[in-house]
Parts: sequence; structure tokens; C-alpha cells
Amino acid sequence: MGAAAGMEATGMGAGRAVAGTAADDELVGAVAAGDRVALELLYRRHGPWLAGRLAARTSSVDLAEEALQDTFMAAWRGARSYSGSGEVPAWLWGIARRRLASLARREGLRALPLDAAAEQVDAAATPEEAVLGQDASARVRAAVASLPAEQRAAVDAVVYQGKSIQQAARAAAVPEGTVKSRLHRARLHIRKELGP
Amino acid sequence: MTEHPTELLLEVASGAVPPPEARAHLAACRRCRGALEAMAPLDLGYVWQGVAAELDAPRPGPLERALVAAGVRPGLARFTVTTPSLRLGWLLANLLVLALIAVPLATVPAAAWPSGVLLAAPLVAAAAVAFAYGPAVDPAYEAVAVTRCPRCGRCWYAWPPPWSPTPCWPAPSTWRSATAGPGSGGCSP
Repeated sequence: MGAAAGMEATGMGAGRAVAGTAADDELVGAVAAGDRVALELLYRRHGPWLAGRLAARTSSVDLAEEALQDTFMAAWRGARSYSGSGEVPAWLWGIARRRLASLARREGLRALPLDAAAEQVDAAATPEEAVLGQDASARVRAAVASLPAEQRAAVDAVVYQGKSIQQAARAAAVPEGTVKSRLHRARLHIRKELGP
Repeated sequence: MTEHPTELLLEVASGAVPPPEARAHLAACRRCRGALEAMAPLDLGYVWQGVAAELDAPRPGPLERALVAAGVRPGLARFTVTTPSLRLGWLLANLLVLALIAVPLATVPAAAWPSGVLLAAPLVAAAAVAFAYGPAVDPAYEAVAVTRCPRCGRCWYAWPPPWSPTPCWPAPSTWRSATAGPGSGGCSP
């Protein structure tokens, strides 16, 4: 997916002030002080799940990508105003979903309803989530098992065996783009299976 | 921490929020981070390039910021600041026009003002502007004539006029400086 290469190229190495193991609060504090490395660490930590969540809320990849970019620009500019109360992931998601909604409005798309109760990013899972959580991994396994063989092999290589896309492509003797598109279709299938 | 939360990665890539312990694992586990990035529905490297480009974008200088704060539209402010040769020409033309009006009025007693001067003064100003940027005297005439509004790329600043608070198409909130990454094509329909 070229993600690692792209991020590596912007100078990840010089982690002076903050370490990769720093807590979220410390990272936001460093971002407020203008530390770009801290912003990059924050992006690596929270970008992937925000991406999944944004993409699940719009059919437009462009819109989701723009919202994700704007989220981290807003975090860069607004880190000072982060009060320290509440969780950093909830703060980021709060920015991201508002940004997505206003971008969708600009594009004339109907924004998905912002159901505040459904948008909570709680540290503690509610009881029914805990029950559903035990059930969820079984449902994911079932969804993976129901994938077509090629897509299942791609997911198996990348997620279960921890291979990179390049390695998975070499093992399956197909181009990297093919692995990416298989992963993409597998993700759509899994999302549909897990969906309400 | 030896167990990789593989099913959870697939859920997160599909839009679930990772619980705190999974976030802690992800922070520590390069393998799971890689798998999640590979499964991510968006191109994370591309998005980060967009963030980096916005961080690297040149900050407007004090003059440009002052112009914007004074109500000049961003595209025109950038144009004014980055074309010093035009700035000098504009200044000289204005000084000349003002001098043409001020010098006669200052030297002649008010009682003896010929009404013709008053009639001609606006024409002098108009002539100065008309000839200063005409094709005969302005080597950049053709270049300027085909250059459209740097903000929307469509209009020629013809309407609304630059001092009007009405924005040209599209609205200023959608205008973004030249950066790479998502949404950089703010002017395209």
C-alpha cells in the first residue's frame, strides 16, 4: 500500500523529543509545542483505525481521505486547545466525523446522520458491547471463511501471517496491485458480513 | 502480548474502534501495524503526504497576511505580493495621476480654477490606467491577458471586481493553496 514508504520518506528517524512509546496525552502535548514527529507518531497510531471508521461512513474514498488529512491538520493547529480531559482517540474521532460531515455537505452528498450516542469512543465497553465483542471474533472468522479462495489467501497472508503486500504478492505469484484489490474486496465482504 | 489480535484487525479495518488494550498492542507491535495499514481502506501514505505538504506549505508573509486581514481576497493578495514589478508600476501610476490633479490645483488660486481641468481630471486618470497596461507598452500584456484568476482558474477578475466582498467561483472556503494530497483540486467542479 506504499504507506510505510511514504511515511518513512518524510523523516521519521529523528525522534528527538518524543518516543514511540509515549502516551497519547504526551504526544498531543508535543504536537501543541510544534513537534512534527509527534504528529507523525499520532498519525501512525490512530490513522489506520480512523481510516477504517471514516471509510465505513462514506462510499467516497476521496472524501474519507480528505477528511483524514483535515483531521490531522486540525489536530496540528488545535492541539493547544485539547483540554486533556477525555481520551485522545475520542477527541480525534470527534474532529474526523465533523470534518467528514461538512465535506459531504460541501459535495452535496447527504451526510450520514451523526448519532451522538452511536459515535461514542468509550474506554470502557458497555455490557452489550462486551457480549457482542466475544461474539465478534467468531463472526469475523466466519466472514473470512466465507471469502472466495483467492481473497481468503490474501487476508491469510497479510493479517494472519503478518506478511507485507510485496511478500504476499511474491508468494501468490501475482502483481501487488492484485493483492491490494483482493484485500479491498475482502474488506468489503467482511464489512457487509459484520454490518447490522 | 504474544497473541496477535488478528480478527480485531479486520474489524478495525472495517470501521470498529480498537479497545485500549488493542491500541496498546498496536503501538508496540510492528507486525500488526503493518497488517492494519495493508488492510486500511484508504491510502495512508498518500494521506500523510497531504498532511506533510500542508505543513510544508509556505506561510504567507506579513504583507500578504496584512492584505488578507484588510479584506483583500487571498488570490489577489498573493498576486500583489509576488509581483513586485507590477507593484512599482502601480505605485508610480497612482502618484502620477494624483500629481496631475494636485499640482494644478495647488498652483492656481481657487477663484481662477478653469472648469476644464475639473472636467478633464477623471479622463487623465482613466488614460493613465488605460495606457499603462496596454499591449503597446506592456511586454507582459499577452501573459496577463490569458492569465485567469489564480483562485478559481475560471474568471478573469472581471466580475465580481476584486474589491467586492462577493467571492468568485468557487467560495473561498473551498479554496486551498497549492498542496499535494487529497482535496488539492479545490477549484475543479
